Amino acid sequence: MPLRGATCGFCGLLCDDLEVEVDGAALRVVRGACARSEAALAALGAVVDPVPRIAGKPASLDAALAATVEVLRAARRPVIGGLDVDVAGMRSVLALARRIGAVVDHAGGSIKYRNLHVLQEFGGITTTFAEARNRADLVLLVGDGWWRRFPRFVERILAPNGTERRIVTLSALDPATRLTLPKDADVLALDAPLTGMPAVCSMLNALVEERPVKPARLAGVTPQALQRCAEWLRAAQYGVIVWSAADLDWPHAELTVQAIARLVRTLNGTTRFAALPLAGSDADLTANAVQTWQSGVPLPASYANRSVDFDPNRYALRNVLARGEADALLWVSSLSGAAPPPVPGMPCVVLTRADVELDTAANVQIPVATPGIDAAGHLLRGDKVITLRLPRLREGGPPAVSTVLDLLLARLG
Amino acid sequence: MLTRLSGARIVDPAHGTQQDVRDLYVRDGRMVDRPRDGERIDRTWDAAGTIVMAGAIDLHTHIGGGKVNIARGLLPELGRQHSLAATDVCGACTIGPAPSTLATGYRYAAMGYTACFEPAMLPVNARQAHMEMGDTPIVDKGAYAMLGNDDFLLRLLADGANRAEIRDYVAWTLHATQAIGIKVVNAGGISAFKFNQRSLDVDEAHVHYGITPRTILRELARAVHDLGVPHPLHVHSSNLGVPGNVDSTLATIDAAEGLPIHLTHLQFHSYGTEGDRKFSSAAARIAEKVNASPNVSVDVGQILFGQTVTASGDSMLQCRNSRHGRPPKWVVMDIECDAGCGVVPFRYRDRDFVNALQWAIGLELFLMIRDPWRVFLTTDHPNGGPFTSYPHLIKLLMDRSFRNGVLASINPEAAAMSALGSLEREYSLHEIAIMTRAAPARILGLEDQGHLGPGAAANIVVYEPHPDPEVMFATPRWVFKDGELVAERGEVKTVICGAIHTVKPDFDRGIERKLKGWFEQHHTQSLSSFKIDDEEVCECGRAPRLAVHACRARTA
Amino acid sequence: MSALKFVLRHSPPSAVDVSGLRPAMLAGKSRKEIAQLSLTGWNEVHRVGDLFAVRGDDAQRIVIDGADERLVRIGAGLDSGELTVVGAAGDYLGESMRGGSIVVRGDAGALIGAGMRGGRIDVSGNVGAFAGSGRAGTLQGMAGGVIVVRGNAGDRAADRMRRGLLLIEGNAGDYCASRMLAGTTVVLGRVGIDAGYLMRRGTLVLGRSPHELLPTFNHNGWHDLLAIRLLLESLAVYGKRFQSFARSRPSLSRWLGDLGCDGKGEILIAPGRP
Ligand SMILES: [Zn+2]
Ligand SMILES: [Zn+2]
Ligand SMILES: [Zn+2]
Repeated sequence: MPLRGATCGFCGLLCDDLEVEVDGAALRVVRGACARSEAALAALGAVVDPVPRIAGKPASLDAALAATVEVLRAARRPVIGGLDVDVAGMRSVLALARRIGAVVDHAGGSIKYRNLHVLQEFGGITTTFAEARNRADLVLLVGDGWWRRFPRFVERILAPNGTERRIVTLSALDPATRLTLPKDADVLALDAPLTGMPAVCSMLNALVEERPVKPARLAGVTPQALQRCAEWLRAAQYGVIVWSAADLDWPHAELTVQAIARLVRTLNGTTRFAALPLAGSDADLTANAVQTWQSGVPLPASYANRSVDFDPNRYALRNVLARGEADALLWVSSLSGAAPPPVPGMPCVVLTRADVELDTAANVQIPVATPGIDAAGHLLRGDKVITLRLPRLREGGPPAVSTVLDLLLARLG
Repeated sequence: MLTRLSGARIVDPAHGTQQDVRDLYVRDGRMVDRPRDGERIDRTWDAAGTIVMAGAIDLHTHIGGGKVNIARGLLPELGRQHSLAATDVCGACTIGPAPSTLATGYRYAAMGYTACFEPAMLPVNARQAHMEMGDTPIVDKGAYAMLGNDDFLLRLLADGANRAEIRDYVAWTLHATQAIGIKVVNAGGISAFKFNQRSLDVDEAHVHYGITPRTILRELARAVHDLGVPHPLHVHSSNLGVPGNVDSTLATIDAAEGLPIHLTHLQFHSYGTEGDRKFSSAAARIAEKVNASPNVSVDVGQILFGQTVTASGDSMLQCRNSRHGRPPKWVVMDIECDAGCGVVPFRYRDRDFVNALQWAIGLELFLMIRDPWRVFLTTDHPNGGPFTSYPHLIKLLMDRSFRNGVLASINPEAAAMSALGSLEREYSLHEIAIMTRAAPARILGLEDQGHLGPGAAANIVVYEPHPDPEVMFATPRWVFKDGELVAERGEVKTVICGAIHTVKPDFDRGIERKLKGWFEQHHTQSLSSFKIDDEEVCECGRAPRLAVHACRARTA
Repeated sequence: MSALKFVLRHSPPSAVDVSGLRPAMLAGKSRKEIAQLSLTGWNEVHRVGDLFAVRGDDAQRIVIDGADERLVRIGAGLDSGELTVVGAAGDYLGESMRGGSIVVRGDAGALIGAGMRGGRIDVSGNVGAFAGSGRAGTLQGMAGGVIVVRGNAGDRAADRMRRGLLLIEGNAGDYCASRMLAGTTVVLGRVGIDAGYLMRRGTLVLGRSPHELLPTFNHNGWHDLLAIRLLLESLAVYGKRFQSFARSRPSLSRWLGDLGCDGKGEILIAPGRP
């Protein structure tokens, strides 16, 4: 059975050390596996010859494209959502958006942009995976789900190199993950409840700056642990705060992110400190980066009226749909397998991962290649600096997003 | 396909100083001497009464790569206020302090620029840089890879590696990142910042590796020279923006030990500490040294008043200068055992003493450095100001009374401290053509750019003479790129994709064994993921052509 | 002369930027000329005359009648004159206004008075989130002028507020006065969770005790300071409820914070039911 080197595109770590056994369509990770790659490869490996559908019925790609052109021609206010696509796919998405005057947003917009809002309204001091791996002598972990979202983070970033590290877990840590922490690491567990996270982060700022606060007023964490945490933060040579914005899943969580960014900036005044927001999954950073360089403004954006505009309030996919402004939805998704939000009564064209079966009756469904499986593709890694090329693993399979969209563009004229 | 451009006055310094009126011929995108016997002329452009130059080349402009994109993302509220609506050929985009790649390509081309060089490509970020440059339409592109703060090289130097090994590593980096040159930014300082060292002068030791910037500069300059890379080591000196940094800059020149080096955005490195405010111009001292050092070329990094954003690899100094930023939001990054970056918005104000003096210092350098072949016209876009202000800058250089008029309007204390008012020099058209065309092509080793001789790429800019040089240079009548009309009177006519320019010096691939181990130990990607091959760079960079320029190795 | 009146004929399918309907843009134009002006929606351009029935002639007094939330940026950039909205106003009402007054008889959307520097906005109903704040990416919210909301305000009222007065008769949502930089915000009703989060300076007056105050605010005692009394008395001109609040001469409990962010802001809380 042929073994192929592979890069896992199913979380923002973009681990490039995988070996995958390819047996016809079937795929099995034999080295570098994580829960996310195993699940995705099992699902994708079980699909043979996915076909486009029109109103649920199998159709040729040609007919599906023709039906899509009809939908897009009739639409005056189209939205393009999803956007878990590679760089080439996003380039094509934007070309199409310009052509049809669409609003574009990533599926996870409201969650994923928490960090971006803070960048735009505060700034930040950040670091990358190799810096954290080689230099961090203190790592503060925030949130209660990053180990599911970024399964190999501990193995690849925290564990190697025998660097002596102190590790602070702000939220309760999953026991299995705790076992994988380096044996010699000093661990301080605060186990703060998620609901108190805004207050905890503000309190840490106050303690680090030695303001006259009473940590005892904070519910759910002992004042001693908080004080200890502040001492550790101040004593670090190279401290790193890690979180995944998706874990901070409450309204206005960007304020908490800003409190973290502020803590980093303060500590950086005397020692070295940096943030490492884990992101990049579902190509959120990829989509945003391509949009930002091509147009000069980030997502969510509108290409209405032959110009481009940025406004998270007006163009967030959720808001546009809630206000009933759009009259067609084009959903483009090649990595996550996420289905589009329900849009009853609205024409809907869906480009999806080959294994996705829609229960909603989209007008048109076209299976597309997943980057790193059925097509090569470029994705931005979670630390925002490195772009990797995910090689293709197997022959055959559906066409790449960019291929489908470029065909569409050609037909739209 | 043969095209004739008739009746223009040709300003082509690569081929001498005479500016005669003659016809130019283009066959299939290249300049030719004259038609073959009996060859039909397919089209004639009547250029009578115009001034023609080769396409301009910007050898230092931050057009692509992570930090530029961070700058865009940092300032969406300003970007959206400068919207460029779509036309029949151009896509909708914005041109804020950090312009979109689309706007960058359109505006450069409309201004008569046909090649742009990104000066600070982080090796680990090279793919993205090539992608952004690929989405910068019309113009040709190239990039300098940043070395001198990467742990691999610093460790080699600390361990006393031999020169051959350093040379191989430099060459390997050029290949792996598809670069045309090597830049060093605050040698060792970006790395030292990761160990909480907040400043590092040329002869200070890096707190962890124990080596000095002087060593790094000397060894990199030597390696680049020995490999025969045409462009000398591109140097962003130590202590950017710090009053009194003139001494570091002079020491940097000495560190090259006579080997060729290019000092970039020199304006930011020409500061003294005289006067009540302990901030003064040291342009005269710097210019004197540059004039006396034929191995040194420079670009100025002129500042122009207004809102901009600074994006630099120099995380150490950007962090330090962040308190002057406006609006007060900024980003600093440590990057992947490789380098760093810092993005700080700035609003240069003509009433502000420091800003006004910075403005004057840049112009002093332009006027005091005598040889136009060794001083290049840049604003270090966007750090000193946007590239769109080049026509204004040209006017400042060509028109003394205009220059003195502006001088009279800036902060009077700064104006009084500057020698600018006494400098009589006015640049000629010929000199402008040298510093924006012939000289950058020569110093980058671009044999077929920056001139209009036979074999050159048919990058031709047709200007209508105007008493106001700013008007003349802002909107040329026609801009041809590889023989195609791409812009007319400031409007883009055709959108094409430009080539990528690189060098590929010979080296011993044995260096990869050492690198492979290093990557496995310290990096979070494999060596093979890191390297970009020719096919991939053309795909990422949407390049119809990879132009590989010759290197002539200078070692046995 | 009678007020220049725009009566909405039908609700447009997408948000339409109507900032052009303000005195500086309309003064000196005939009704016919005004009807020919265009307003931009999403891939569509509306003639003013198609979207509105235009009546009256005094461009210093403008009325938008039958308005709904599709009309966005009403009065944006206003610098003088009066603008009255009957019905609902969309987002960005009075964005960046510098003078004049806007009265809404009805509700208004999110981000009213975003980045405003002067003038007055009076809304009889409720308003959305981010009242008196600023557009995404800007570092400062409202930097002058007065906003009075007779109903309730959404979350993040006074976020990044820099100067001026934001008065809310009803309740305010979560994170009221988050990241506030300066200025004064008064909420006579209840506020949601985490009021004053990352507040740097400025004053937030609460007519009722919140359920819980952030632990990074420290109690600074009970005050009936002259400065505070003058502040309260100055509010009396903004209507009966502010008048009676001031007259009750409450002794205010003063809290300083957010100590996680410089801590130079104050929350003044009147005694009373949470
Ligand atoms: Zn994985
Ligand atoms: Zn530089
Ligand atoms: Zn530069």
